[in-house]
Amino acid sequence: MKARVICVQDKPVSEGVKILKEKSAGFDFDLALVSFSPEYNVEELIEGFENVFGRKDYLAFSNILTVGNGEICSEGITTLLIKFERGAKAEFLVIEDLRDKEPISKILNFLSERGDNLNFLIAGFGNGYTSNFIETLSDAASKKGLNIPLIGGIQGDNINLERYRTYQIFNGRFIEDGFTIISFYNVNYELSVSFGFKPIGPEYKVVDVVGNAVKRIDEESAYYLFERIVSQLPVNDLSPLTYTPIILTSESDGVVNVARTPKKFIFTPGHKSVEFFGPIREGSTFKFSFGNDYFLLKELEENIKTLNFKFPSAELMLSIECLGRTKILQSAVEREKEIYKKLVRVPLFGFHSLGEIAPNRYFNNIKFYNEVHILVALREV
Amino acid sequence: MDPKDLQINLLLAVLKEIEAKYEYLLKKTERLSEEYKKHAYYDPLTGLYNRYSFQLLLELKLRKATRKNEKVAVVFMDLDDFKKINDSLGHTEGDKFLKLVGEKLSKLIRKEDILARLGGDEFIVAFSYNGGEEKVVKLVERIHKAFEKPLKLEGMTVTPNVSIGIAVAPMNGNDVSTLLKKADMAMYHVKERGKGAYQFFSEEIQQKVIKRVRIEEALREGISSDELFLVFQPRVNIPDGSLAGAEVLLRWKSKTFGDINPATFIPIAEDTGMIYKLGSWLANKVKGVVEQLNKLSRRDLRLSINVSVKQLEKPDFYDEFLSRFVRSDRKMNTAIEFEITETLVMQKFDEINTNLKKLKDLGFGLLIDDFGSGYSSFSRLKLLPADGVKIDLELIKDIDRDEKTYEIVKAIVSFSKVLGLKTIAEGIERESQLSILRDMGCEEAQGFYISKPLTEEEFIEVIERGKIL
Repeated sequence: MKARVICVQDKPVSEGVKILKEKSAGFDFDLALVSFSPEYNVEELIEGFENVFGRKDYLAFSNILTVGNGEICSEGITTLLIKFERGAKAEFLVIEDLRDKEPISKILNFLSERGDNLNFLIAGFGNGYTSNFIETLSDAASKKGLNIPLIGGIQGDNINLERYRTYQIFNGRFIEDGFTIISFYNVNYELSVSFGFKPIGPEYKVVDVVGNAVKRIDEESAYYLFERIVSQLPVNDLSPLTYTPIILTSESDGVVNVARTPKKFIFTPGHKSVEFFGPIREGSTFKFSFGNDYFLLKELEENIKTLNFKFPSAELMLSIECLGRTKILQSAVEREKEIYKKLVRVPLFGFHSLGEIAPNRYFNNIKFYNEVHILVALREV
Repeated sequence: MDPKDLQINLLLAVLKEIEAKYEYLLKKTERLSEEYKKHAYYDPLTGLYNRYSFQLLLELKLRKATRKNEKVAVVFMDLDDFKKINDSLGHTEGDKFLKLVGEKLSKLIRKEDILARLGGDEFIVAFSYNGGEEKVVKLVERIHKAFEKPLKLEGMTVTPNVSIGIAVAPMNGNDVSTLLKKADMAMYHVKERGKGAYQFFSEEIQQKVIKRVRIEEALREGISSDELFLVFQPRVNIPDGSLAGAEVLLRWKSKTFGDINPATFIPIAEDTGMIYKLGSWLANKVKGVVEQLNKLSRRDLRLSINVSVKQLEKPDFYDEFLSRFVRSDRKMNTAIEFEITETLVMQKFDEINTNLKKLKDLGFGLLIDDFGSGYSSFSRLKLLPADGVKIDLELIKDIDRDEKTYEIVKAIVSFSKVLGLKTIAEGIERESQLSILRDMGCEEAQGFYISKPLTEEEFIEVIERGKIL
C-alpha cells in the first residue's frame, strides 16, 4: 500500500481545505480518513471535502489532537490517504446511533465474518455511553463464543468541556457520535499497547457503582475519598487525576493494566459519586497509580522498537493515544515527537482518544482501556 | 500552578491518602487480631474466659497455691432447666439469659478468681483460699442468694436455679482435669437429688457415680440380652371379683447386679436416652399381650403402664414412645392405660398437658397414680383428661384401722364419682380393706391379697380361668 499523511494546522476551514487539496493533488487513493478540529464548521467541511476529494466515500471525524507523521496537530485537519496495491480493500460499518436498531448483533455479525481483517474503530464519545457499549459488546461476544478483533478509540475533545463534541462525516452526511468500523481486508498487522503507569498503595474495593459513576469505595463514599485528594490541590475538579488513574486489579485479563481515569464529581441531591472515563464493575478492586513523562515515554519507545523488530516491513502505522497521557507529558510532548521521528519510519496517522479499545491478553475478546497508547503497524499482504 | 508542581502535589495527596488507608488497614488488622485472641481465650457470648483459658489459668493457680500452701476450690455450676428457657423463649433470649448469669457471677467473685463459661449452661469459678471450707460455702451461698432475684427476659422474669458441685485441691486432686471431673461429679449428684443445691465432692459420691456408670453399661447390655422382663399385677372389679386388667411392671434381673429396682434404672435410662429403646421394647411386649387378650375375647381388660413425667415432658414423646403403642384399629388402643403419679402431674401440669391430651385423643386411658399422697388441686384435676385415680397404698394400708384415713379414702371415692373418675385401690393386703372399699363404692383393686405380680404366662392362665378371687 501507499499511504500519505497530510497535516494542516492552525488554519480556518477554507484555508485548511485548500492546503489539503494542494498537498493531496495527484495522489490517487482508495481510502481517505480525515481528522478535523471539533471547532470547525461541519457544513463548510463537507463542502470543502467534496471539493478536495471529488467523492463522498471518505470518513472524517472530529478530534482535538491528531498525529500526522511526527507531528501532533491541533486546530487543524489531518488526513490519511491510502492506495492499495495488492488487492487489499477497506469496508465500513457505520452505526449512527448505538441505542438504535440492535447494533450489538449487527456489529457481532460484521466482525465475526471479518475475523482475519484488521478492524479499526473510530467512535464518538456518546456522552459516556460508548464505553459502556464496548463492555456490553464484549459480554455479548463472550456469551456467543465469538472472537471479535477490534482496535480503536473514542474520539477526543477538550476534556474540560461538559459535553464532548464528537462528530463524524460519512458519505457526505453529518453523524453525531457515530460508531464506525473500518475493516481492512488483506492486510497483516502487529499491535503494541503502552501504559507506563505504576500501581501504588493498597487495594481498594468498589462496592457501589451505577454505570461509570462510583458511589462507594470500601466503607466510605467515593466522592469524599477523591474530594480529600483534590482538596490538597489548587483546583476543584478531578482533571489532575489523569496523572494517577486507578488500576483495576480485578481485571487481570488486559493486555496491559486496565486503568480508569476519574472524569468528574457528581453531586445531585441524594447522589454523590465520582464518574470515570469508562465502566467499572461493582466488586472491582483497584490501586492508585502514578505515571510521569519518563515512565510513559520509556515504555512507548521500547514498544515502538519491538514493533519495528517484529514487523520491519510495515507500510503504515496507526496510533490511538489517550488524551490524558498528553496532559502528563506536557512539555515532554516534544520528546514524544522526537521518538516518532526517530523510530517510526512509515507514515503515521492517529488521534488522541477518550478511551481505547484493544484485545484482552488472550486475544479472544475486546477490552476498554484508559490512559494507554495503541500503535498498529500494518502492511498490505 | 506549574504542571510539574501540580503533579508532585497530586502525588503527595495520593500518598497521604494511601498512608491513611494503610493506617486504617493496620488498625483493622490489629482489631481483628484482638478479636481473634478474644475468641481464642474468651467466650464470645458472655465475655468470660472459655474452657481453654480456664484450664490454663487454673493450672497456674494450682502451681501458685502449691507454693503458697493454699487450697483451690473449683466450683462447677449448672443452670437448672436452662433447656426450657431455650425451648420456650428461643435461643436469642436463652443467650441473653446466659449473658445475664455471667454478669451476675462476675459481680460475686474477686478480681483474682477465675470465672469461665465452659459451654452451654455450665459456668465455673476457681479461687484459692486458706483455712476451712466455710469460705467456699460462703461463696456458694452468695451465688444461690444472688440468683433468688429473678432475671428479666423479653417481658417476663426467670429465676435461675443453680446446681453446684465443688472439688478442692489438693484434697480432691491437684491437676486440672481431675478437679474438673470431680466438681462435675459432685454437681451431678446435686442434680440427681433435686437440683438447686451444692455438694462437695466425696469418695461416696465417686463410688455412686462409678456404680451408676456400671449400671448404665449393664443396662445397655441388659436391654439387648433380654435381662428385662414384664410382670403383671392383676386388678379386679371389686363388686364381683372379676379380672379388670393388670398393671404392667418392668423388672430387670442383671447378670452382674441381680435384681435392680426400676426406681434405680429408669432414671438412668431417661438420662442416657436408653428410655427410647426401652420404650420400644416395652411397646412390643405389651402389644403381644394385647393381641392375646383379643384372641381370648377379653377386650374389656386393661393393661396399665407407668410413664414418667420426664418422658411426657419431651417434645418427641409421641414420636419416640407413644407412637409405638398405637394400633391401626383405634379401639385396640383402649386396652392400654398410662399411669402418671399425682405429685408430678400437678407440678408439671402445663408442660405435659398437651401430651396427655394427645394420649387421650388416640384412645388410650389415663390414670392418676399414687393419688392422695400429694396435693391435688380440684380445679386442675377437673381439667385433666384422666379416666381414673389409683388411691395411694399408704392410705389403703390403714383404711381398716384408722378412722381419719377411712374418711379420706371415702372422700376420694366420693368426689371421684362426681368428677366421673373410676377409683382403683392399690396395696390390698387384707379382706377387711377390700370389704370397706366395696362398701364405699370403690370400683377396682390390686394388691398382694388379690394376687402377687404374675409372669406373662401366669397372667394369661388367670384370664383363661376367668376369676381370680
